[in-house]
Amino acid sequence: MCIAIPARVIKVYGLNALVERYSEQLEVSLLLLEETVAPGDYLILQARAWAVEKITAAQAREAYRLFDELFAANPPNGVNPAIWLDD
Amino acid sequence: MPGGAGEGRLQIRIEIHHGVIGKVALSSTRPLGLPAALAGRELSAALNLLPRLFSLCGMAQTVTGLTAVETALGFTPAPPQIAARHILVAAEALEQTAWQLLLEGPRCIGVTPAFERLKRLRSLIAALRPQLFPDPSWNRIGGAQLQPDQVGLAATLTAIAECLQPAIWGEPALGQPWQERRDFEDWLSRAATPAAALLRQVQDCGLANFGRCTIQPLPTFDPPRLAQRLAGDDSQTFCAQPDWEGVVHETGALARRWNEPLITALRTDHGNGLLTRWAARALESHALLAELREGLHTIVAQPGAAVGATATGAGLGVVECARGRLAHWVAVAAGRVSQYRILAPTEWNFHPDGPLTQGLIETRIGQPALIQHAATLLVAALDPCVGFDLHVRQSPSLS
Repeated sequence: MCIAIPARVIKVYGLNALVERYSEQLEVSLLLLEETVAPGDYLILQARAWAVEKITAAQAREAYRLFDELFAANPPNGVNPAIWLDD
Repeated sequence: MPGGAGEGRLQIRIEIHHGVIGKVALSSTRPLGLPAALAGRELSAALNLLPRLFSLCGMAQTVTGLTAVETALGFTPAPPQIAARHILVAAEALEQTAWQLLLEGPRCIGVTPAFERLKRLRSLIAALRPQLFPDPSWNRIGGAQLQPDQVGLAATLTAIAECLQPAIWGEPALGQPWQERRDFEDWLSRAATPAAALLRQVQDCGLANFGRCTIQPLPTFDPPRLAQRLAGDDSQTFCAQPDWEGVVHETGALARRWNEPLITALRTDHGNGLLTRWAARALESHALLAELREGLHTIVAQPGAAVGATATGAGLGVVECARGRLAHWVAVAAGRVSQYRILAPTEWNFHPDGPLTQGLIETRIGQPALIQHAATLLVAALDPCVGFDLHVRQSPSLS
């Protein structure tokens, strides 16, 4: 399932941006966005590489509160019992 | 943040031994436990969370959740309401199908993605919801106020078709939706679209059969049986690595188009290999547009009324969305969610014994340099809902 964790824009350079969500920094393309983007804006990403929606700071705060709560109750790492067949 | 980056990622490892793929390992850090966090919430609040939790398929998640809750409450919305919701889900699926055909697929073969087309398509699809439900709270249990702007909707669907035509199907004279094999071959040889370029490269690189395996499409669910599996003590395992009566299946565009004449013909020659998979996705774009038109017709032609029945306290919702069949199951107590389960299509297609693994294992690699390219095309055709990393290595015994 594709989780909609917002990412905060740190820097914009041309049609790309450096964004951060929680402790992770990503470089994403802005090519599919209609809106202009500036540092401090919040974006929703697809496939960790494409910004697909710009949301408000209030929406982002609400989303972070939600994900903090959900991840605290359901830690994201290692919950899928999919297996490694080698090593 | 607790636990790192959150959305997780697929790790796919392929090990080659004497020119043959000897091992395929899938691992995922996707957080499958999130639906449990809906427990204890008031029903409407839980439904409002779904599109905020899930970014790529928010409409499908919402409609599937609504259906599950309404079933639990013993309520069937009026046919136009159901048709309007289906339009939203099909439109979202069309957007994601176009994403694969115009962006991910072309990137795999080094062709510039059709960004502007995709951007325009996304804008048109975003216009549909307010043309159906002027009130943003369209996801009300039992149905929201439906005021279809028939002229506006028809114009939007026409604009969507005009947007996709030059990017996927090419000139109308080239024919679609290719019910006949020769129409498809003609399109494949002549169309100057990113989608056609993708399929041509699959064919020209000798990859038409790549990923071929014997896995079958997911059959129609027996709702009581599926509800039983989702409610059972082993539901977490079932949702992570599902089977249907002991067998792993695939779901998605190819499964939905499995028996269409063109796909049947392609399967005869190439099985469910890359050419068939990407052809099914191209066909899917046409079929989804047809579903949008049919949905609009249903809204106008079948007024109908909502139907009430006895509340059962638990309900199942099943919807075909962009990546395949999505199921939600909810148990309700005192107006709140007591249990919530989601079975997502990616769990079928990226199951350790699913179509990716089966399609790769024991494949002989004629040109080792091609394996990364071919496997990436196969993953993209199966379309996971999160990012992935693909690692290819020779067997340690050879290194």
